[in-house]
Amino acid sequence: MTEPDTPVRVLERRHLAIGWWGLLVFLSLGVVLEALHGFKVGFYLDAGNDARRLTWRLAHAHGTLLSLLNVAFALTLRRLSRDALPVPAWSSGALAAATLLIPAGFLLGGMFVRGGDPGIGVLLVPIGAALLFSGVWAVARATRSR
Amino acid sequence: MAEVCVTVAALVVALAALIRFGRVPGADGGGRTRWVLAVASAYAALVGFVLVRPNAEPEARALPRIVVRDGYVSSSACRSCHPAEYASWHRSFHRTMTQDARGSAIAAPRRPTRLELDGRGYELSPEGGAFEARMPDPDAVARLAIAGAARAAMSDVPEVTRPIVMVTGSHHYQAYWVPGARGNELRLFPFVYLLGERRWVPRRDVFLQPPDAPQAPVRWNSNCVQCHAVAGRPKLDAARDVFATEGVELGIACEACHGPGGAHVARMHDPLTRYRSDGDPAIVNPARLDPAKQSEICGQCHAYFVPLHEDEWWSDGFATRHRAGVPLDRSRRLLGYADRFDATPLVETSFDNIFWADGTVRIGGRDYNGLVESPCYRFGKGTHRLSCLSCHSVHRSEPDDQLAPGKDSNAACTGCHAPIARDVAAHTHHAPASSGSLCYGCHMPYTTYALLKGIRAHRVTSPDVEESARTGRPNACNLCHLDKTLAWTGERLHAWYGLGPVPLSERDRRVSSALLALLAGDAAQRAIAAYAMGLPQAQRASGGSWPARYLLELLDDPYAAVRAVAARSLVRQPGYGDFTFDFTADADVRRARRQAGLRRFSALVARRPVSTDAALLFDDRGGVMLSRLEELMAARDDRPVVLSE
Repeated sequence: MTEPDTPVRVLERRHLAIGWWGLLVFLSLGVVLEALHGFKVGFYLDAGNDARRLTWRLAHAHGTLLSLLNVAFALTLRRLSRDALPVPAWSSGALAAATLLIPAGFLLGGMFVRGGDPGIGVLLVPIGAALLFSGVWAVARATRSR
Repeated sequence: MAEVCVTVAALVVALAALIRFGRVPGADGGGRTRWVLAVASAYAALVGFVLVRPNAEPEARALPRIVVRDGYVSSSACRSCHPAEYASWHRSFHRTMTQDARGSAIAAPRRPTRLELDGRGYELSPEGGAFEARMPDPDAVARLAIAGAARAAMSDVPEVTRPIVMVTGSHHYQAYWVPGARGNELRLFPFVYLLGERRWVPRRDVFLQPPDAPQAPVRWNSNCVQCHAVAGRPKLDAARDVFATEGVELGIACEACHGPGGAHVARMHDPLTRYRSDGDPAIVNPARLDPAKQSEICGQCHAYFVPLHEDEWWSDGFATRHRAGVPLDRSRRLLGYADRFDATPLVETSFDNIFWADGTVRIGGRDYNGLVESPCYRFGKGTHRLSCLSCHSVHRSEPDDQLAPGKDSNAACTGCHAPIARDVAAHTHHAPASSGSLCYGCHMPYTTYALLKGIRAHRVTSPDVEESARTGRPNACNLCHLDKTLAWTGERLHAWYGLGPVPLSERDRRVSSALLALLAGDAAQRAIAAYAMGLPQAQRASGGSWPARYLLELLDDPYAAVRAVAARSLVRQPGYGDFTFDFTADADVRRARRQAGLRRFSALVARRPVSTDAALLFDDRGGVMLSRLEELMAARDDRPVVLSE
């Protein structure tokens, strides 16, 4: 017998999916970066590509950690409530958008580097960061109120 | 454009996620907050794009074209596998020999600066990341100089504004280049910035050349390019008289010494090959070459040579016939003093401007010419043959002099000359810990000149009084024992090493050898003697304040470079540490400073005589024998000297 689709269940499934699929994507990115090292790909390793190397590593690290955050968010929801949504619904969207924007910003910034500076794609990062902070703030607030 | 599209697409997807995921069946969506976040994100992105909108195409520049070809890949490809070597090269003066003027390459302060030369103004204004120069048209100046026009003719040259686009040098001084009229021709801005003194000076005043030498029409494309870039090609279109100069990389980078890296990089992309490899024949490793070939790698630039195929040189430089590891004699002829007898003059200048009369090169930076004349190179065998790498290391050294670890000591020589090392004092007749017991102190004296200083000769020789008297090249003994005559040195060499007695002139027997060079030598001898007077080891060996008296005479030397060297040594003399002197100042100003310096010397002598040595032209009471001094100065060798560094 399956449990009814409460708002908590919906968000829980959604963020578990984002989290685990995100882990798959960003851990795969780690493997790609290893391969770029192994085969000494100049596009990634040459002296003029410092900014690309840094931002792609940041994309890998942030993507992985944000995926784990989504898993933690899903587990937190269940822990706080089984029925009524314990956090504002927009916090789910904020975390999901941040999970996309932050690593995507680093990836795009590294894709189109300008000398020592990342490309304009890196502008997605502060937007994602703002959304991330909003979402985390909403969850933190919810834990306190219970 | 693609960058903006992809970024906006990512943003749209994220906002869609924000809005979509903000809706949860059966829950309050927090609709207003959700939309506020979405709109705020979009607004922030818009502001960001406006603020950091990509620049338009970079302005057209007159720099040499960077063309990576013929198997070259440029230094950026080397770092991922060789980070330590890359780092040691990156902090070297080789890398910064030639740089794009943008960024942090310009060492001079970025402020409006007005300079003057021969009555014409030169104005530098900071413009963007570099400078713009308002100056007499350098192309017109060059045309007049080539036509042999007098300096006065330059007064009619119209002014133009040119950007400083390239800089050369980063160690002692920095030179600046502006676009010329023909293709990507680069003309030298006629001032350099002295990094030590932090001041602008006319470029002609830092080169040892006669005071009336015309403003040289220096062009980067027709000389500097062969060494100050990797695989530089002048690319002169003779028919149109236009340059399209190119190179693989500005400055002296990895492939200048290791050869083209393309094949090596391609092989080493495979990790299995890397881990199996013990040296790759596709790349030149100087450390694995025999000493002669090692030295040729440095000699491709640190030598005086002429191209074997001059017509080809004007198009492709040495790039088609030479790369690291290929014998130099396939592309160029190394100059030797014997070549002065060649039926066809090989160089425009006199050989006496390049070599001492004993065949030792006298211009700094041409150390390979000295090395190949050294007995340790000519007669050494196998690993016991002297090479540049016997003492120098590009990657295991400090940027200044690039001496390998331990090679600033006798270890540089005792690997081959072990018996001497066992009892150094028995060989040197000096205290073991003194500078007189340093091998290179006696066998590589400062008889080469460049960069406003003396430089150690890289032809390893032993002090020889007969040779000094015959050729005028100072010997190591008299460059340290500044107060001693050639005759004194001859006696010591006879007593210690059994060298035969040498017949010497009255002057050489009675007057200090260094003083003779300082007062009566040619411009290069004067500069070298003045430099020696500032060396701590020479001051220790020669004692006292007496050199100040004679260095003051050089403050009014006709050669600006000699004045500069003398002034630098003067402030190292007791009582002159705070003495100021501008070697580029007008004659009246210089003479006034000289008089001020002489008054200071008189005050010093009044307290206590600095010498009563007749060999130093002092009488019994410590006064200077002015008539002898004037006699020597009147006999000064005023033949024009031009040391083309």
